[in-house]
Amino acid sequence: MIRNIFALLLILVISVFLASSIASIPFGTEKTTVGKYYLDKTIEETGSVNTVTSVVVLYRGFDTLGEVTVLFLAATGLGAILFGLREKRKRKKERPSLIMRTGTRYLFTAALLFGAYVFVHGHLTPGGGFPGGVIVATAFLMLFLAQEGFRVSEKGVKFVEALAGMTYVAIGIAGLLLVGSFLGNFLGTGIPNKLASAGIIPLIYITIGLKVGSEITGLLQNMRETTEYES
Amino acid sequence: MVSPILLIAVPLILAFSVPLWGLIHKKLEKFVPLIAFGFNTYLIFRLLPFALTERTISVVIANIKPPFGINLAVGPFGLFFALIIQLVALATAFYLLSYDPPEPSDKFYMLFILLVLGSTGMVLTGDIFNLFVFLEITSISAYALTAITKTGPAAEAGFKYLLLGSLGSTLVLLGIALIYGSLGTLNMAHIAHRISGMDSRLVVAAAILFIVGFGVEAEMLPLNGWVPDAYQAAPIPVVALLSGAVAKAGLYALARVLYTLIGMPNIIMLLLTFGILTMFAGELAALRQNDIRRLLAYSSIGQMGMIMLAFGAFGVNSVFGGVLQAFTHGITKALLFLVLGVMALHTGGATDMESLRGFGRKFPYWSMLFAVGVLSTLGLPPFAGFWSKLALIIGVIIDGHPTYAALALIATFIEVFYFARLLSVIYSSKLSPKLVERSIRNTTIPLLSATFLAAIIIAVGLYPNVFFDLGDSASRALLNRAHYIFSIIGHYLQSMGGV
Repeated sequence: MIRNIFALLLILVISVFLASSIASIPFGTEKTTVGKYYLDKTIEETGSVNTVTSVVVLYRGFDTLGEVTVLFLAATGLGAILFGLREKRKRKKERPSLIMRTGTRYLFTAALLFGAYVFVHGHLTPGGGFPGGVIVATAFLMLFLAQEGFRVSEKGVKFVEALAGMTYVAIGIAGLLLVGSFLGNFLGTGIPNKLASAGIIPLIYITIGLKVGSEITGLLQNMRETTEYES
Repeated sequence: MVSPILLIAVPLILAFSVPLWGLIHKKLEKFVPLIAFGFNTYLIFRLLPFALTERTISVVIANIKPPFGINLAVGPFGLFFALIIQLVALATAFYLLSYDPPEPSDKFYMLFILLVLGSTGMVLTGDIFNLFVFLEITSISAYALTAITKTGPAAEAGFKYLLLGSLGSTLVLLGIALIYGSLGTLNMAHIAHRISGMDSRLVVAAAILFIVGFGVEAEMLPLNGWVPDAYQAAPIPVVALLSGAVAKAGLYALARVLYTLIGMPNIIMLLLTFGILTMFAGELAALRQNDIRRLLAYSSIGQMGMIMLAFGAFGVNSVFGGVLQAFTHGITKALLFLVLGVMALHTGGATDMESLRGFGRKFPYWSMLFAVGVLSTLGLPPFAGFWSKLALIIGVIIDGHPTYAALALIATFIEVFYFARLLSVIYSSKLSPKLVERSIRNTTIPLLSATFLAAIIIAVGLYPNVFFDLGDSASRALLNRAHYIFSIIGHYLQSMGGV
């Protein structure tokens, strides 16, 4: 009891201290030096009309490589810990209906295509590698839910994942060799608003899209429990 | 000069490639960490002459100059820590050649490489948000590797570590948000240049968030509850890295953020208090341990506390002692754990003192390696630990804190107690019934890798000059804030018309 009261008091003190400090920060004003720079210079420096994308892939591209690694780690770590534990629990479930089975079959291609569209057009429209990859994984999730016994090839997923990650780093090293800076844009900026513009941004977003897509698909397969259907 | 970015890029591409090696042949996977860290050690030695100067250079990424892009700030202080991490990683990666990793093996090797890569990134980056990203890479791989054996204690330790670690990361992120919200920049040199104009209450808030956040990895007192459990339950090579790489990277981040970013003596001296508490808590708890893994874990906490004390004394001499002690502690603990791993092969996995009673009589070379580690930790000549502990205690005295130096000395006496007990058990004439004559595996490879670490300890103990020079430039570089700021964003400040 006393411990709980003490903990509550501590939380209260910390929150008041933090809230009062944060209240004094003028968020949203034009104080952010680098933020303003990005808004002013994006098209000229990167050829990307989507500022968010140019910040994610070029200005702070190294962080993005790190975040791709973090996502990879989360998937790998979970896969490592779930290894051997899966497929223990079996539960009876109702079979997916005919409409669902047929519908997902048609939707699958459309969803894949849409995911690819989102990550290929990352420098032109909202979206990019991460959401695109998640849409691709969603397409597979539909099949996991609706098709009995559907599995993706474990080797295939690993292969795409490894290759996409390696290509991303290789693009970075190519920048180091060609323009003297890791992840440097060695392709020029091109004409803004064209599909083939913004240099290495679309290339990187394609690798991220494939990597995230295969990773999350693998993750979903890992976490899936095998189900038996009532006949 | 070779680009230091390769220290991160090459292991990363190799980590992603592990499954492909496995597709060719399952046995090939285990060579990948060795290739990665062999290459990195070569690179570090190419960069070492540079670490003897006092200069910090900015390695621009994506061709966008700081403060607008991300850069590595490669200087003597960071390179010194990178050297510790790479040496431990190399010895451990070699040790892995004869180690049966927990399944799935490809994931184990990937996590292993990324753990080292994350800590290397932490000590090299010049951007505060990038530091956070590398902290995430380091800690997430560490959680997974702690729990990877999937036994009950491993899962519990991993979960404990996960809770504390993610709390720490969140606080670091909050601290970064406070700074970015007030200063509008993430480059560490740029922040350091501007921080005097920031509301001092916010600076203090950010500093406390950083101390608590990085304190989890640096094994600081109220946040180190995960340490004994993780050291006991994680696979041995992982434990060697937890003390040799993760704790060192956390310590580096603490020092870098407090000295370079915040730069306020009052706040830096908070480390004195935390250091002393951590040191005594660790050493006193170690007295009561019967399991050698736990004993070494608590001893590691004690040592980290001592290093924090040195960093908190805020002077070039004590920081000098602190970085030297960080080096010897990293190498020595890795040695002790790798030897302990082999000891456990002769007892069917048990690491408590009674099972290992008399080990020294049967395996004189192995216990000699263990004794080298123990004596170096205690600070006896002719081992590296002698110089580092001497430098630490003298440094703290010179910088005007003789009381704290005396406390560090008392902590060393406590160490003598439990390590003497440990050695007397290992060299006891009574043999434990659990000891078996032949280990279940060939121990040539672990022998070479432990000898490598012991050789470093003895070589540094006998010829400490290069070691002193490296520590000297590292400590001077940490305290020379103006130089750090100028060498990273000097060009930008000049173009803005103010230096």
